[in-house]
Formats: sequence, structure tokens, C-alpha cells
Amino acid sequence: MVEVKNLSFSYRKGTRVIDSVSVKIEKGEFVTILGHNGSGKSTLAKLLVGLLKADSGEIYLDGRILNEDTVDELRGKIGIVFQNPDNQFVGVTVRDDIAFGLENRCYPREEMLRLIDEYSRLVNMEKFLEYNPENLSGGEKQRVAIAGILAYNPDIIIFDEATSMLDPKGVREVNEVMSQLRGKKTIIQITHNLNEAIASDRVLVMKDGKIILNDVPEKVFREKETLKASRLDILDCMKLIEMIEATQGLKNKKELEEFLWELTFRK
Amino acid sequence: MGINFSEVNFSYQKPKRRRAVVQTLHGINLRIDDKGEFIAIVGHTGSGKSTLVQMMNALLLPLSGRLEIFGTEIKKKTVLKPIRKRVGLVFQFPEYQIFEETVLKDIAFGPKNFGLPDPEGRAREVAEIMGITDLLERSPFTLSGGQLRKVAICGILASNPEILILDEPTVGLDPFTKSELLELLKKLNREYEKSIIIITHDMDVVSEYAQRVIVLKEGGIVYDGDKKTLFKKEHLLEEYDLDYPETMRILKALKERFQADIDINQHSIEATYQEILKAFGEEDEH
Ligand SMILES: Nc1ncnc2c1ncn2[C@@H]1O[C@H](COP(=O)(O)OP(=O)(O)OP(=O)(O)O)[C@@H](O)[C@H]1O
Ligand SMILES: Nc1ncnc2c1ncn2[C@@H]1O[C@H](COP(=O)(O)OP(=O)(O)OP(=O)(O)O)[C@@H](O)[C@H]1O
Ligand SMILES: [Mg+2]
Ligand SMILES: [Mg+2]
Repeated sequence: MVEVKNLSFSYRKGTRVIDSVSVKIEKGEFVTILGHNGSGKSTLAKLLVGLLKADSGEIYLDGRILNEDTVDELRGKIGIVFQNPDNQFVGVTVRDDIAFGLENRCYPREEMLRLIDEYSRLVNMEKFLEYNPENLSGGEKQRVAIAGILAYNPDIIIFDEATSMLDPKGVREVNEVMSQLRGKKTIIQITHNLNEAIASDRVLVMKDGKIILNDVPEKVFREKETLKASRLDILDCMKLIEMIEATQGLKNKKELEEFLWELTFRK
Repeated sequence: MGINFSEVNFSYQKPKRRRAVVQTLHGINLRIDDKGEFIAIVGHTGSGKSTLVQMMNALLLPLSGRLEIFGTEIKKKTVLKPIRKRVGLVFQFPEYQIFEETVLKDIAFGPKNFGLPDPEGRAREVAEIMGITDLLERSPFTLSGGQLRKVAICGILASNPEILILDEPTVGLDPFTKSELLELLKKLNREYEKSIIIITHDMDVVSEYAQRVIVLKEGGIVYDGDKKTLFKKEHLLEEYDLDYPETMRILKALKERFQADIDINQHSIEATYQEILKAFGEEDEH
């Protein structure tokens, strides 16, 4: 469980990037964070994993407060895939990189080798184990970063635009993995892709450092005006529903609308 | 003129005397006009898209074959500055092209480097268009991911090249900024006849904005043509790891559910709506 109480943070004096944020995310929940560029999503994520220290307010992970004394210990509980995969890499080979997350877990050597094999295969990167992550393509980097976090296996995982450069098939594969983790891990996904929000249990919308919407996707996407004012949008299907609603003399009008609604939100 | 590839091969490895090297791109034949093109390059992860566009402004040189940019053959000793002035490239990772201490200086670097008049004035102008004037005095290294991408895009716009190449330009942009950028590119394409080349995995972007689509697979071009023909062939999409855009996904579902007479090959919300009207409008409406 993640609990944030009245959290505030600024990089520079006078500009609050996180502004009195309070939110609770239950164990096993799958939550999506949406928000305009610079709204504070990545900053909130870095506060949650203890990379930044809040000016005021508290963060609790599974009931334990996150502070200087507990941060090292709590790091094993929560992990993040950074927005820029280059910030993820520590090793000179893909193998080292996936191994890095495992080392702190003190696995026997055979188990480590097995896990590296398993997770590199899961993201189709088993042929790249001896490559330098620096020389990979954008999507390959993201695949390796995802393998790393899955191998690290924390209870709470934050994906900060972690699939933004994957091809459509790759996105489907990662979504498949995420849905297998559903209920077992707490997942916080940051994205600009509105369609990716639909699959989640709950959507948080950030604007200028504040959480302005916090509800199930079906409800959040009804807030058209609020979304537009936050540089977001509604879904294509919903735009069509609106257009159909405003049209006279259509056959099957009700069924059409219902079908499109179903098509959007069926999980 | 424009860009011409003829039987171009490329490898990141140095050519070895006897052993064959891994060819990241092979047998590339491609003609890109310097006016009015709007091309989307798509293809699976690691298929060679970023490599291909880096050749288009001579950041990478062919291993063999012939590459011509604006009539100049690209070789080791070719003077590249005049070419880079005419072909601008925004990298997939904006971090790789940003180095000045303020956003303003960074955007002004291109025009200054190419000897254009009033570089800072140009920088302010494009920053205004992209809505980032409030960031001009900031250090680029303290920006959010999306803000940084906007700065990188501004850097290219400020140099006003004839061909603009953008490697996954909408990644990290919020929905509003994304459509603003795409509308801007459309305007540059329609009104100023700029050739625009974007790499993207977003089928909705391909569907709404591109005229021509180039599909890469394992380092080779497997499709080069108009988008409607590509989207007509569902089996090809599967083969190339692509997807239908949202409009076509919706129409396909409607067609199956209502057994309606629908041409699913539509590429904007408006066209999709019109197709629904055609299929579901009362016949005796008049
Ligand atoms: N190191 C830093 N120093 C100063 N300001 C910063 C720093 N990092 C981020 N900021 C600012 O804080 C604000 C929030 O940034 P953050 O990266 O959290 O945004 P975001 O919601 O993740 O945006 P994006 O969608 O573009 O990734 C932005 O205005 C950004 O410019
Ligand atoms: N500097 C490099 N050295 C060695 N190999 C490289 C280098 N850059 C890319 N490659 C390899 O070349 C292949 C093509 O890479 P490229 O970046 O062109 O792919 P891409 O189509 O842009 O993929 P993505 O959609 O993931 O960005 C990849 O398999 C990649 O690992
Ligand atoms: Mg961010
Ligand atoms: Mg690429």
C-alpha cells in the first residue's frame, strides 16, 4: 500500500512542483497517472521511491514511513522504470544490468543465471545479453529496463512512460505481463496514452502539481471539460458517441451508442 | 534532388577483411522528394528506423551503395554543413542533442551555426509557437521529459530546414501538445511545402497525418506506398507487428457487430462519423 499525506516539493524556491498532494493506493491496485507536461508526475514518482526528499508531508509504504532512516530498507519494496531508460542502466552489458537488481536479493548463482535467462526471454532480449545497453535502439532499451525491474521483483512498481517507444506488439506484450501481475503487485503507470488508462482500476489526473481527478476510468473520462483544461482529451470512441448522440434519424442509435461505450471500456 | 538511396547497406561494425559483418540496413532503395512529402516510417523495435534517418542527414555513412542528399554524394570527405542545414533531424532521445546552458541558447544554436540572421529572435519565435517561452532562461538539464522534447524540436524548427526528420516526436508529449505539434507539421507541409518525415509507433498518427508509409523489417524496406493500401491488407499489419488505428478498429467492430456495409479504411474521427452516417442513416431522410 502507498499512502501520501499532504506532500509538497519544490526544486527551486517559490515554485511548488508537488503541491499538497494526498492519495492512497491499495495493495494490488493498478493505477494510472495522467497529466500535462511538467505537471509533476515524474517528480511524484521520484519522491515515492525516495530519490527526492519532500519539503513537507509524509509517504507511507505498507504502513512504514519513508524517511532517511528507512529509505534503504524500503528501497527493496518499491521500484521504478524511469522515463528515460538511459537513466536506468548501471552495467556495461544487458546481462549485468538485469543482474544488478538481483544482486541485492542474495540469490545463489544458478538461480541468478536462471532469472536473467527468464526475464531476458520475457522481453525478447535474450540475444542481446552481451550488448552494451548504450548501443541499443530506443525500444530495446525500454525492454531491458522492464526486464530489470521485473527481475528485481519489488511489491510496488512504477512505470514512468515505460512503453512509450515500443512497437504495438511490444506494448501488447508488456500489457499482458502487467495484467498477470494484477492483484499481486501494486502498479503505478504514468502515461500520455489515454487508451492505456482504460485498463487500470483507477486514474489520477495531475495538473500543476496537484491531483485534480481521482476515480475509475469510466468516471474520469466523463470529465471532458476538466480534461481539456488540463491539456488532456477524451477517447476517440467517446467523441463518436457524442457526435452520434447529436444526430437525428439514425437507425439503431441506442444500440450504437451502447456498443461503442462497451467497446471502449470493456476490459 | 531530395534524398536518394541506391542499394545502400549499413553496419555499426567496422568492415572486417574476411568475416561478414552484421548489416543493420541492407539493400535500401529510396527516393524522398525535397518538397511536400509527409512520410511515416514504421516497423518493429530494432528494425533500423533510427539508423535509416541518421543516414538521411549524413550522421552515419553507408557501408556500400550510393547515398545522395541534395545532389551531393555522401562519402567520408563530403562537406556536411550545407547538407545539415537543409535536412534537420530531431533525435529519438532529445538528451543527445542538447548541451547549452539555457534553453534559449540551445534553440539558437542551430540558426547561429548555420549563419542565419538573428538566431535569438528566431529561437524566441519558435518557442512562442511551441508554447515554451516560460522555459527560455531555464537550464535544459532540469526540464521534464516532455519539455525537453519540445526544446529539441524547437532547435530544428529554428534552423528552418527544407526537410524535417523527427524520430518519435510525439513520445512524451501530452495529448494537447501532441496534436498541436502534428498540426504545426501539417501546416509546414501544406503551406510551405516542407517535406516531413516522422518515425512513430502510433498508428493513429500514421493514419491521420501521413501520406506515404515506409515499413522496415529486420533492416530492409518491406513496404513503401500510400497508407490506405497498407491498411487494406490486414495480414500485412500482422506480419509487420503493426496495428489498426483506433478509427479502423472501431469501424471494424461496428461492421462485425451490426453486419453493416462499412468501408473501415477511414483515417479521421470526422471521416469515421461520416461512414457511420452512411451505414446507419435513415434511407427516407429527405
Ligand atoms: N531538476 C530540476 N530542477 C528544477 N526544476 C525541475 C527539475 N526537474 C523537473 N523540474 C520541473 O518540475 C516540473 C515537473 O517536472 P516533472 O518531470 O515531474 O513533470 P512530468 O509531469 O513528469 O512531465 P512530462 O510529462 O513532461 O514528463 C516541470 O516544470 C519541470 O521543469
Ligand atoms: N551504436 C550502435 N552500435 C551497435 N548497434 C547498434 C547501435 N545503434 C543501434 N544498433 C542496433 O541496430 C539495430 C537497429 O537500431 P535502430 O536504433 O535503428 O532501431 P529502430 O528501428 O529505431 O528501433 P526502435 O523502434 O526501438 O527505436 C538494433 O538492433 C540496435 O541494437
Ligand atoms: Mg515525466
Ligand atoms: Mg529508434
